[in-house]
Amino acid sequence: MALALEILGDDGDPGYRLVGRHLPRRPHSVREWTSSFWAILLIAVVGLILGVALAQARARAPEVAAARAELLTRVATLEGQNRQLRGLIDDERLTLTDLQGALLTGDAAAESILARSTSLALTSGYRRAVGPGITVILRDPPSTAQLPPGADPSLARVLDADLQDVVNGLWAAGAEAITINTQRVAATTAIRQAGGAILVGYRPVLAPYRVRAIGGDDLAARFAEQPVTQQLTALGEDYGISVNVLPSTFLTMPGASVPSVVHARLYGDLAPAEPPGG
Amino acid sequence: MIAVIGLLLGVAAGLLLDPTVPGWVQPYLPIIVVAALDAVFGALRASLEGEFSDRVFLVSFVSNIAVAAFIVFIGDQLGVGAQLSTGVVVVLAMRIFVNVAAIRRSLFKA
Repeated sequence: MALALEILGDDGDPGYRLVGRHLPRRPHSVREWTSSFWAILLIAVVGLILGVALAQARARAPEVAAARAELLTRVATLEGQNRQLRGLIDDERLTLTDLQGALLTGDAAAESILARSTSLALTSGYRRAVGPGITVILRDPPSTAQLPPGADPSLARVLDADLQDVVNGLWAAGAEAITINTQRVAATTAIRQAGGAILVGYRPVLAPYRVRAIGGDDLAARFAEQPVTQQLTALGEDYGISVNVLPSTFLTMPGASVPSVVHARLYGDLAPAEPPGG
Repeated sequence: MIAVIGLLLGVAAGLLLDPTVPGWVQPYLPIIVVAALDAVFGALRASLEGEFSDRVFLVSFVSNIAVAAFIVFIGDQLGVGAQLSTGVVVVLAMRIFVNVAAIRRSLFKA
């Protein structure tokens, strides 16, 4: 507390006061000349420090920009690699399903399991999906948009909850596979806000948000019956968020990243589980 | 007046000569700059109040810089360099504000 008061106190450096009181002033003396010499020298040193710091900051600016550019290219390269590997995973999953089908033909029980597995592969996002459906486009309002009185400006943009409602509405309307921008939404995919960005499956998606859903030609009509449609109309009226629903004749969707199973085991599989990492 | 010329001379020399700062000094440069500014504003205030002394200026300047750099050094060794740098900058900046307020009162009586 005493320290804080001393910092905030209005006394300046008490050293000056002490010396100023005790040293008698001798005008036009040698002392005064040396005094101003030292003062100017010190001031020049301070100036030198400032100048050097300034020069340093200016010299390092292009360096910083170069490092930033290099990081950006690295991010882009790695993202490309990531996309490629995801495509590879989708290919391998396809091969795997083909092999399973080839192995299990002729056995009625096995074929019914296979059929069930195929339908689950769609909703779980395990495999690529293609088919007709709709695209719901949500756009943030322009920053110049006039909000009605009482509307909170920080809410005048598409929120994670809006995307969640749209996705749930699409599931309820009978959609079989959904993507947001390029991210496939599976049963366990999280849609949440993190700071200013919306993460779908822990990967950021940027506005405008294109929610694509495969669900046949009448999906648009069924989606229009969902309560979320009224909610979206209200969003448009209150906050200027524009929502367009367009029919899409052919949609292609990548597979989702399926979380690895950690704790659960299949019923009947009695082998003791190895603790993870051990 | 002479002091301002000295300051400008120093800045010009720093900018034109562009001396290479050794790598181990670089983390301390911002702290040193703030400490030096604190000493200068303290001296300016003292001179306006008729209490200036070159000896106090020299000692406060050198000790400010040394202590500030030492705190940051210790912080780096302990792994809290960034936090201690912030602490040093906050304290010195507050002192600068107090001194500038006093200078303002001396100059403009307001």
